[in-house]
Order: sequence, then structure tokens, then C-alpha cells
Amino acid sequence: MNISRLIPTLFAALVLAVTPLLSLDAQAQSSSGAYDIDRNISGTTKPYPVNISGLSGEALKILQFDLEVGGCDIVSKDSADYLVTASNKENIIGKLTDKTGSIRFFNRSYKNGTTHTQVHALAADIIKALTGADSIFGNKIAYCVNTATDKNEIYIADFDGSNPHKLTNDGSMIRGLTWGPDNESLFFCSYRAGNPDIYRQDLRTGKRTRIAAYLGLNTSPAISPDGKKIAMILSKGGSPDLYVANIDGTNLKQLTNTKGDESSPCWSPDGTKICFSSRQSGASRLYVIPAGGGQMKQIKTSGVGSATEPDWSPDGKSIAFTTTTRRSFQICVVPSQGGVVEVLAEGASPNWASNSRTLIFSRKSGKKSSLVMLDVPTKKSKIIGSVTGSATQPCWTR
Amino acid sequence: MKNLFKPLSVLGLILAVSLMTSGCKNPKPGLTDIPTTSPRIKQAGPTGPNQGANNTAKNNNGGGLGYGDSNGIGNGSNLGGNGIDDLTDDQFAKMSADAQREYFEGRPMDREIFKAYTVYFDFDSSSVRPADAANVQHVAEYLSSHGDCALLIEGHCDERGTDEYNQALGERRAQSVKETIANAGIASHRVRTLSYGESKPAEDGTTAEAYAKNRRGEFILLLPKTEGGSLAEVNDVSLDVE
Repeated sequence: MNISRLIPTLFAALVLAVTPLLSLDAQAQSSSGAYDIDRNISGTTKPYPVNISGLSGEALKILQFDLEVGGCDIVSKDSADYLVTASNKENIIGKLTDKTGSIRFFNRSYKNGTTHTQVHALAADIIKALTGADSIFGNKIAYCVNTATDKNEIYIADFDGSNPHKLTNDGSMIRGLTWGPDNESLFFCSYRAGNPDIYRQDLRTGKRTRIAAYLGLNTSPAISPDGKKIAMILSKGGSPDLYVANIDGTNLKQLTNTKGDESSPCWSPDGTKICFSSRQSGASRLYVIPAGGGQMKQIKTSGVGSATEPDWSPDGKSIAFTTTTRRSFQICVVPSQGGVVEVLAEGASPNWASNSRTLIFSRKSGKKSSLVMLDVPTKKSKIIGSVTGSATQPCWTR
Repeated sequence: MKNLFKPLSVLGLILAVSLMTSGCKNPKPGLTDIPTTSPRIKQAGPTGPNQGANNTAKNNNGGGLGYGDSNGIGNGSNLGGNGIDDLTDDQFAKMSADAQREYFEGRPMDREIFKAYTVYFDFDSSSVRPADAANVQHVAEYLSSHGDCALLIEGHCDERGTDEYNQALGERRAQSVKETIANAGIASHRVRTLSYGESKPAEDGTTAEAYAKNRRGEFILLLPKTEGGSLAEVNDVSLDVE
């Protein structure tokens, strides 16, 4: 046998053998999605190939967007595993079947609300039937849009960027935007008063309340799942450290006291632990600490260098975070107890949706930053094209 | 069997290349008009953009609790009759957060006087470099002979970290410089830190040189408060005044 022909074959075989090891199965046990053994390739769920018929124009666009966000590929009838047959005469009617038409998942008529909300409801039913995941299409997002490198304003919109409303007119910079309990408020760090301070803004009254305005840095507010506590990064002690307080800022307790700097706290969904990034060891790594205080313990993030901006999935199983490579920022997930990291896509500041499957994050291209949604099990991502301007710090309603 | 070698090796190459590359194409975003006024939501608090800090200490939007001890010493001016600061660090620490802020706010700022003494940092580091020790010393000496002045140290980063990470790193840099000023004999409470993260680069660009210029700590002299506490930028302060 000719050796020079053998080597490419061996190389190809080696690459094929190694591929499954590189694409980790962190999401294979996701309980929010139906686990179909036949559909798993290399630990990633294949996108669901779906064909849509009977819709056109705006309704079709909305349905396509929603289904792609939910983990589907929109394909021709020949390539489809699932068929969506819909109509939009007086209201949206939609039927989901397998490709032969013999297995019928549902056939529903959507009456209330606008065409938009009816299409979103149809999309939600399709995603629920295929993946088991609950709908996120009724959620809102909050985000910031840059007006200069050191100025931005807050917007709230539907999850797909439609119906945006501008909330602020500060002419200064906002960081660490996050929703408050019951989505009735937003918390953020603002430089409006000439110093980075943490505020709460009530969405019904428009009233803004100071939560932390100590000398130095007050930033990165994170509200506990029960809505009673706030974690923050304050440098009042001489270095940016993790603090926890009542949600109005009273009863302040210092949790870390390191020579490095801490950043970006996030709560475990059961409210007992806080995960954050720290440069305590010299490089930025993820740590977890009991919410009432105690020892900080590193969460292993094998396979990447830096780890910042963690966000804990609502089902408790995964932590999404940002790593910085030589050339770009990358969104990653790691099991919440630590382990091997799965690098997902280029971007920064990830935030989990309530379904523990969809991440929203920002991605910079040149000077402009776009908002992106990613379905973690299928890796399908969609840029939220309707958001204009350079947008950062996207976050889902709780 | 022979015929499979070529396609298999091509497949292998394709697989290998696709594993090594990453990134997604960005389709052009659609455009939607964003209303410029907020239809329902009113705002309380100061109106209009505000780079100054006059209103912070008086702004009691329900945030009065939780600011440490409220039975502090010396609300308002903390300067003795001859204009020299006679507070100790311990006394300052016992002041309320609002009072501490007010100690610094309302002072005219001089951004030019120490411009040549900006200190620079290595990537991802907040250590003050030995080469910058002389700069720090100069600033400390000036503060030593101008006891009625305070100091603002601004910490900055290049764009290669994420936003919140850079906010914290910028603050750590400013705090590091503050420590060296304190080690040179200046009372710690006379020095304030403020991090801008990556948001105020000194130089635009993505070269190593531009990045190096952005990783910095800047010194801003805070002069004694004038009557009425106006926040004026003073660029021509005479250095001979005693």
C-alpha cells in the first residue's frame, strides 16, 4: 500500500474521531428540551428542519425568526422533518405535523391579540411540541444603545427588537443593566452624577432611586431570585469587592476582600450562591461563594483562558460567560459545578432566557455592537436586526 | 479502496479547517424607527446631561439609608480656617457616604497641571510600574505643599476586556496609584478614584501603541472649593501661588 495515500486517510480518520470530543455534550441532558437520541450528533442537537406553508409577508417573517431562535432550520418540504401548515385569513390558524402528515402534533386557531401575538403564540406551540421548551416570545428585553463611546441610553423592546421604547435621556454612561423583581424596575450603574453609582428606576412611575453611591466604584447590580437582595461590586473598601445588601441598599455586607478585583456577580437560581469573576489569582477566573458569606471557591473553566461576565441558567445547570481570546470575545458555557468549557459563538455579556436554552448577548463588528440570540443546544443564532444603533448589555425580563 | 483516499483526505482537511475557524457572518440588520420620546415613562431627579457633581450629595431620592454611619463629623466644608485640611483618615471614614462625596465635589478641577505625569499600565495589570514612581512622587509632593487641595485619580483600560471587567480593572488601577500616593505620605482621604473602564480612550485605534496609551491613570488636581461651589475647569492655575 502506498504510504503517501495512507497518511491523508489516517489524518481524516483522526479528525473524524476527535470531533466528538471537541463538541461537548453539556446540553445533551437539558431537561427543558425533549431529548431525542437519534438527533444528537457529536453532543449537539441538530436544528429541527421545518417547512412553513400558507403564510406570507410579515406573518411569515415573524414565524421564521421565532422558529430559528427556538432551534429550527426553515427548509423546503423535501428536506423537512416537520411541516407547519398555517393560514392568516381572519386570524392565524396553524397545524404542526411530521413530514408525512400522519403524526399531528396540534391544529389550533389563535384568536386574541394582534397578528403579531398570534404568530408568536403559534411559534411558541411549535417550539414546545418539538423541544419541550417553554415560550420566551412574550418576554421583553432591555438594552443600551450607544450615543458616543462614553454615553448610552436604555431601551426596552419585545424580545425580537420590535416596539422599542427609549427610557432615559441622561447623556451619560450606563453599565450593568438588569431587571428588578417582577420586572417592575431596572437596576443599573450610571455616571450621571459624575461617579459610577447604582440606581433603581421604577418602570411605572419613572422615579429613580439611589441604591449605592459610595466613593469609588458602585456597579454590577444583581438581584437575588427572591427579589429581596442585591449583589454589587463596590470599591469603598479599597478595591472592587463583592457586597450583598437588602434590595434598597441597606444592611450592606462585604463578601470578598481580595487584592484583586471582582466583577459581574450573578445568583444561583436557588438564591444560595453567588458566582462572579475575580482577578484574585492574577488572571480572571470564575468563583462561587455562599450568598450569606464564606469562602470563595474557583469554578474550573478548562479549555479557556479568561472567564468574565458569568450568568447562571435558571435551571441551575450551566453558567454562561465571556472569554477573551487574542482577537475577540467568545460566549461560553460550563457546567455550574465547573468542568470543560464549550465555546459557543463570538460575543460578550451573555444573559439566559427563562427557558435555560436561549442566550442573548452582544457582538461587536468594527465600531457597531449588535444583539444576538443563540439556541444553545442547536447552536442556531439570530442577530436581532431590528435594533438599530450600537447596542450592549441585553437582558431578558425575569 | 484507492478511490476513497482522495475524498476522505479532502473531507478531513475541510473538517480540520472548519474546526479551527470560528465566527459568524453578520447579515445586514433591518432598520426600525425608534421613537425619540418616551411615551409613558417620566423621570424624576436631575434633568439634562450633567458632567458635574453638584447635585449628588443633596439628592435624597430615598437612598439615605444604608450609607454607613450617619452621625458623621463635618458635613459641608471640612477645611480649617486657614484652608488646610485637618481631618484624619479615621475621622473621614466615620463620615456618611454623602458627606465623603461632598468633600470632593464642587471643587474646581485642573486637568492640565499633572498631564505630563500620567502613569501607564501593562495589559491586564493594575501594578504601578517602577518607571512611574517619579511621577507619583511629584504629584505627592505637590499635594504635600498644597494642603487645601485634593486629588482625583481616573483609571482607564484599553478595549480588550469586557465592559464590566474593565470598569473594575480601571478602578483597581486608580486604587493602586492611590496607594502609592498614600505611601508617599499623603492622607488617603484626600484622594478620590474614578474608573471609566474602556469608555474614554486617550487614543482611538487598535494598534498596540494606542492600547498602551489607553491603559492609564490620570491625575486631576481638585482645588479648594470656591464660594458657591461652582464646578469650573481651571486650566491656567499659577504654580507659584502659596
